[in-house]
Amino acid sequence: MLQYSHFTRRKSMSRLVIVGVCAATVMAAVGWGIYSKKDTPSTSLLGTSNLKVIRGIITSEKESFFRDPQLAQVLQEAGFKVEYERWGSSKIANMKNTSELGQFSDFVFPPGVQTSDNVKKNIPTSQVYNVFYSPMVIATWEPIVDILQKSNLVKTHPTHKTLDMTAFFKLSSNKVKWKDLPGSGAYPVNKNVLIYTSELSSSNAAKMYVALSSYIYNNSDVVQNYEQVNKVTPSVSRLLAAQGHKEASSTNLLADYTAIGMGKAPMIFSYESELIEYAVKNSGLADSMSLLYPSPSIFTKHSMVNFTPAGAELTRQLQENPKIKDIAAKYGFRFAGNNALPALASSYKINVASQLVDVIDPPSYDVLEDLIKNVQASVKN
Amino acid sequence: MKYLNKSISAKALVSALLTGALFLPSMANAFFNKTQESTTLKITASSELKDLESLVKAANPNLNLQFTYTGTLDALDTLDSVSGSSADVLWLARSSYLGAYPKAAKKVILSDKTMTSPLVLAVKPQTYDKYFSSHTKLTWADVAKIVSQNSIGYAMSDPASSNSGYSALLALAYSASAKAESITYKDVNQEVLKKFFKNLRLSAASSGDLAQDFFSASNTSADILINYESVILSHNRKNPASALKIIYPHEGIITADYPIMLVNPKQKEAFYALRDNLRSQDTQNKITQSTLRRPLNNAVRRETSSLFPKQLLIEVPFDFNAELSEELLSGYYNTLKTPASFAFVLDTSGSMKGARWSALQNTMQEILKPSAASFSSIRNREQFFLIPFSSQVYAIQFFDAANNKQLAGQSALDIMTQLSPTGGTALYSAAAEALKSLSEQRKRNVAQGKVDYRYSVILLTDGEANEGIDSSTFLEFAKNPNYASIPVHTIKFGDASVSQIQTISGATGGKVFDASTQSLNYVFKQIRAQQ
Repeated sequence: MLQYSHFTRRKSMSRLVIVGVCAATVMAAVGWGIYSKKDTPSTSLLGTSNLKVIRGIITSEKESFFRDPQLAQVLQEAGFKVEYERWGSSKIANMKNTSELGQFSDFVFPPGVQTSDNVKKNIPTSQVYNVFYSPMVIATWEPIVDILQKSNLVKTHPTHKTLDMTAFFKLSSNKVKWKDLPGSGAYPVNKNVLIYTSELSSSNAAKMYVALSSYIYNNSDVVQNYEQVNKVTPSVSRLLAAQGHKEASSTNLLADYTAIGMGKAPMIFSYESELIEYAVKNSGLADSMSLLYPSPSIFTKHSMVNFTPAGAELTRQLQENPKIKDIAAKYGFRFAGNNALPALASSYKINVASQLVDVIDPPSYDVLEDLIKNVQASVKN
Repeated sequence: MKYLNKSISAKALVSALLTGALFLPSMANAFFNKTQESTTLKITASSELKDLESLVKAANPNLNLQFTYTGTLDALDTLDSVSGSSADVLWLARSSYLGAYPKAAKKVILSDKTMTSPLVLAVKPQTYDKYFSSHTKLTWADVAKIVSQNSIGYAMSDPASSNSGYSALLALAYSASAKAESITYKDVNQEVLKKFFKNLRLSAASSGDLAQDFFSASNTSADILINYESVILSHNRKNPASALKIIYPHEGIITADYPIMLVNPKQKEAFYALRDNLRSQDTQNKITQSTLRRPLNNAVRRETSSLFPKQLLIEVPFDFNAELSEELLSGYYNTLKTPASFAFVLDTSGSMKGARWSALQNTMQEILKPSAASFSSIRNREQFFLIPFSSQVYAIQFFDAANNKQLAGQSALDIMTQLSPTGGTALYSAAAEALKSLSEQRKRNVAQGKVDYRYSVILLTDGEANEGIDSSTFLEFAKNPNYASIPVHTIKFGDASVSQIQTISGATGGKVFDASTQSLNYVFKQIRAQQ
């Protein structure tokens, strides 16, 4: 008798427990279904509920990289997920404290170490790390390179060609027209010989162009003080004013180059990484696209600014995870001390420089900002 | 025995529930997939993109795409306004204008190009062979000269509403100026432009509408169409017998690059999905093959290169700085373009009481008030009649803005405010009186040596004709050669009879505009863009 009633009691309790467990499982499953639908289109039922979400600000030239599904996969395997918002680089530089970031407060990842340094200046507790870099290039066309070669502006190196910036800027300053250059039959155009840039107020690439031209106009020396800023401002401003309308971002300028071609964009100032990304996506550059490296050269160093341990985690992943290095290479990003990129690039049918000598540094953040302000004021008039 | 049954049924319960639990996530998935599949995306697009609607919808079955069509600049105007745009996405011919629309520019979150088409001049073959075929490297200024010297009529869209019109104006300005880059209005040779604009025969508020009007049987005066290469090539492919010859102006190309722009931040994922699809190799190929726009995708470009001419197209440096554009447009309307001499024929019958009357008064305020700054406003050198009607046609008032634009506008407004809605609808009589008035004015203008006007009528009615002459009398009347080239544009408003207003517009070469789905202000703007 005792056995029976004992058994019965246990049975009904077990039944309750079983029902409870089932109900809980069901609810968890539905809950997971809702969660996974909102965030990721395809995640397996099990194993993704422990992903650590890292949130921060990036800029346009890195967006495709951060949207790469392989990157998401690799990060997921390491236990992370990145969510981002896209800002212009000037907005990042002018940050005063992390509350401006809203929920995207683990890191900012601007182009240009000057920007990162300025953020650190305003927010001393932040940590700055170099992650990857990209040389600035001039994306142009074979017929244009031919013409410039005839005027002795182009030097051929084993892996790449360089453009003599001092001589080139002289042509621009003197308002020489393409049709006036010797042997310009393939581009006999009544327009000034110019390199086109994106908009200075919103694009870091344009700032690098100002940095490079300021060096040339400062007798091949980095601009260091206000007196030198004043000296170079008129010449640098003329280079920008002569272009007329500019695209807001380097990405859109590249789209002009790739979509409309030589008739619109004979020479544009761009990140090497964006050209590599284009080649990877399109199985090589388009017919007759050609790259020139400015001589002297100038790099953009993409450095991350971390505000939290989560941000630091992401930096560590980007710097150390070999799978991520491979993915970053598809977007053209070079890692210091690692010269794997040129070989990888040539497998995507784009030839990039294996080594660049004659690299200059941009002016310090404050001097560069002064210069940019002056140039912008001058261009308006 | 009893408890064995119980235990079996307990196990059965457990397995049933656990199985159910395993299936539930996929049921949840299916539920949410369904909600995701029907994401609605509202797109405002430049009018000529209508030819892509079914293709884009078919390529994106997971999105519920709703298209509205408009002129490029009109869309940016709307985005720039306080109430903003109700669209999630804009897909316009160019976005370079955003420099002059700072409020709109701030609302654009993401922007990516999708395909390109250069602006060209398309010429009827006989005209081309006679006047253009012996020339090479024709610039806009060259074309303008030939057009002026030989009085060749052409079609161009309104530069304040439409990208193709503005691009043509800008390209022509550059061509007619001494500088190669960064021009100001002072650099432009206005005589060249003035002579060119005398030959404008057909205008519209958007590129798509303009093409339609040009190719319709009622076009007897325009031999050249300024529009996108894709529109012309598509027409030529369908109509080889009436294919147009294309002039690519030398160093005068402006290419539309069709950026797709996100303005509603909540629709980011749907935007990315659509954008990525439009740039995918498969969709790019379909777009190029079916609408003859130039693709972005390299592989498709190589495959379709035979569809497009090989020549290098040199772009005009596209400047949309606010100052130059204001001066160009103001110059266009007030100095360069052939001015309009036209009539407002306005229904003041009893049925116009209430909301309809307010709408009309409001619109006339917008057009006539002296401080008005919109592009539908009265312009210098215009002449207009105010012809209110109900059971009969009332006093016909004439105003000449050439003497004093503000005074003309104010005087007309004073009359408008004195009117009140009452009586019947002598629709055909009013239309006839308008034709008569303009015809007489035309004779007076010519006698005074003022030959350059474009004559037209804007007629608004909200009901059916029930007084005055009937339709057959009107049709007979309109045949009089004195009334040639005076189109009566009609507006479908309130309870207007579509067949009646179509009769009037059809007999005079005018167009019918629908104010039941658009604001009256916008309709008047479109009509003014045609004048």
